[in-house]
Amino acid sequence: MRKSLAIAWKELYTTYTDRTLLLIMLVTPLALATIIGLALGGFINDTSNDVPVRNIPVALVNLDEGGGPSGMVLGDIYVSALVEGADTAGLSTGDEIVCEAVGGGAAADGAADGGATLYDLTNTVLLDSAAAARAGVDAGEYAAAIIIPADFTARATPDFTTGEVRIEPVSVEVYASPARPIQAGIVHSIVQAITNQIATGEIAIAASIGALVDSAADPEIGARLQALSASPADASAIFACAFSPSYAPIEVQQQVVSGEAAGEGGVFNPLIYFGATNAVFFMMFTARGGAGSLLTERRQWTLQRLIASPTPRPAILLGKMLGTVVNCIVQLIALFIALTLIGSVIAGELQFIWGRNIPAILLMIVTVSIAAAGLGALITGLARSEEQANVIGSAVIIVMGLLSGSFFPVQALESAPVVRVLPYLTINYWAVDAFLSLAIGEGSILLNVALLLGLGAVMFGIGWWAFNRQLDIRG
Amino acid sequence: MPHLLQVEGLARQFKINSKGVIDAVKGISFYIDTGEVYSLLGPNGAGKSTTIAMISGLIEPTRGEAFIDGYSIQREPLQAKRLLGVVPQEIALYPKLSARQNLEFFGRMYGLSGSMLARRVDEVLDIIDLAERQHDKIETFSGGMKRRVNIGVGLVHQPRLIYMDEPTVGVDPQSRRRILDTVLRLRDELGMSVLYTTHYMEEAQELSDRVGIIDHGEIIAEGTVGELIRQVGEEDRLVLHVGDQVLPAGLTERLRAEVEGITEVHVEQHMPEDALSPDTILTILAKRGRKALPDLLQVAASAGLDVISVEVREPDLEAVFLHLTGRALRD
Repeated sequence: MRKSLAIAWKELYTTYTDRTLLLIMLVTPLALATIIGLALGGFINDTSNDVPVRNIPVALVNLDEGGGPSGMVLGDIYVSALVEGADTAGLSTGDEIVCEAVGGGAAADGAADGGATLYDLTNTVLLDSAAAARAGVDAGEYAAAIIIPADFTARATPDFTTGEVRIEPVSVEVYASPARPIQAGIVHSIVQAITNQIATGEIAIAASIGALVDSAADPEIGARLQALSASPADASAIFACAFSPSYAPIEVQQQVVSGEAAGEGGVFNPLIYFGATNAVFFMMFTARGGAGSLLTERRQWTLQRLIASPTPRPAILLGKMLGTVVNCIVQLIALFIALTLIGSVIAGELQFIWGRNIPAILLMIVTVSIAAAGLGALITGLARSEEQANVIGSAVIIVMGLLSGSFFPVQALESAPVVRVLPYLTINYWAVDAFLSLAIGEGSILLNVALLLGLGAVMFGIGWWAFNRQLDIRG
Repeated sequence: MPHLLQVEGLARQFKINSKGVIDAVKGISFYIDTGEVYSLLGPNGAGKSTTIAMISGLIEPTRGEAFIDGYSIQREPLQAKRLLGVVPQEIALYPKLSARQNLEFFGRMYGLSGSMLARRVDEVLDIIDLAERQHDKIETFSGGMKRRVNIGVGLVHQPRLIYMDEPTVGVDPQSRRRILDTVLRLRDELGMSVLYTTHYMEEAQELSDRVGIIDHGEIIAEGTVGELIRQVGEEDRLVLHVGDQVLPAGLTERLRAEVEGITEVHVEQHMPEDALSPDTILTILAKRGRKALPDLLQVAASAGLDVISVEVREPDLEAVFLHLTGRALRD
């Protein structure tokens, strides 16, 4: 083991005293991720260069059973907002007089301001089953599924009769595809906006009634409002127009591929996504180079010198792989820290780029480093020369990067069915998926860890066997 | 008492394609005793490096076995390798590490550590005369200095036997002299055994206690330098350079017939650098060569051949090789 550690130390020393190598390992992915992140992100207020997104496929499951004092079904608000021409019987449009009095009557579509409506932005399909919606997301049919729970109205509606306005916490599930982080982030933003509007509307109803009574210019309207204040159920029904897109539309300027919200808020941030993809992508080159240095050592005869020493061949291979894995780990940790700093500086507050679960992040970093070293060993074992390893290795890594969306979101290629499957065969996909899950703070990474370790072990085994066959070196 | 190195019938075949194999080494046997310099002398491709690769455990022999101090390199590789120092023909060093770091790294591979390692590295730096440049990276060294560090790495664990595979290839005369002196010092002062491969006859002649002449994968002669030279008798070697002239027909037969003492005439073509046509060299073995020289030149002139230069060489290993194989070592 001491000999393996000495070999690993030599690997690390030669790496970290080579400025060119450090530039490729650290500065390049950092710069690339930052540039792409800023180019696509909402960190810059100027939206003139933003990229429009339309017709995001969304599944909506409204399980809301109503139950509020007004008899309304608040879940229908999501349906009304997202599904054009939907039948929302539980959402009364109320009395137009009230809406006129509150200055309603705004155009339903944001297109009047040059923006797109939610109908333009999403292509939402109403489903009955949450399981079917989730399955649709898993299959790539939808970018996200919105699932309104059965007790949504019951929990979200304030009780006017007690004189205290209080809304219980309630959650709406957004089941998003990690393969479509941008679209998923936008859907998340929309749901957040609708939900905020519902909460705001409920609170505003109670607070506004008294003021409206006093300020109504028309005595007839004042008298009717006076009567309504004595009947909260009727008031809720009438004020329901506040939730209707026809009168109080959820204001949506054209949604863009942007990173307005931070990763810790659970919404897509390009710096998170492209930070993860670029970190993993460039780390793969480090791993390939580290494993490939066996071929360099064979060419310059230091490998033969090691084999001629009383050092078992497995110890030599272990030392080389150990050095490679540690190099990858250091690179990913350095990029995590640097991207966190950049993200924090831009946002003006500390934002951990891949979330705050540091042990899980470290576990993922170690795991993906092992997997990448395994791939490097496989390429090294199968290649006959450094040149061959460079060509094959670079091609494999670039293809894996492309398939897993290192340079652009892979959903842009979703029309080809095979592209939906191929990302699952890449180390990049499972690594980036795990980092995004950690960033959002949702989902388990255990499957990712298991798959990556398995992939790494299999590739290392094949690479070791193949390279060992080559070690019968002619003098 | 067993020999320090005992090589018994080592052979190695290589597949050259799906159908054929090539016998790179065809059952070589020799031994080296403690404190002895043994040279394997032969042209490029003769099988020297393959033999050494088998002895150092880099490749498996097709048959045969090698023992270092009784340890089989095939069956007890770790014990055998501890006794062997390796100096390959290539500069097998890490260019980004300093001379000292290279020595320390390979010292660790032989199990050295701590103060023992530091002491041995200091001693080796003295032997190779590079103590002052020990902290400089190898990539900044001249070719000769790299060669010396290359040798130093082979010495750091105090092996009992060190092999040096063509250690003077590509170095300037000054560095070459220094390397040869180092080899002699290892034997004379440190009592080490050296297995030395070269295709330079002069080096083998100067350094070796015994020489094995290897050709086409076989040892064709073995012994001390004196013993080998006696195999070709007292013949001198006359080397005639005639430039790009075409040899007159029947000249070699006339030389044998008309000049007393000539035993063999070899004609070689040699292409000098930047030349458009090859030079022709006549190598003639003759008893009392200096006495035969006037007659030889007269016959050549009468045949219309203009001899540009003549060298007369005393009997040496080159002549032995020529005598045994009909070819020069540099072929």
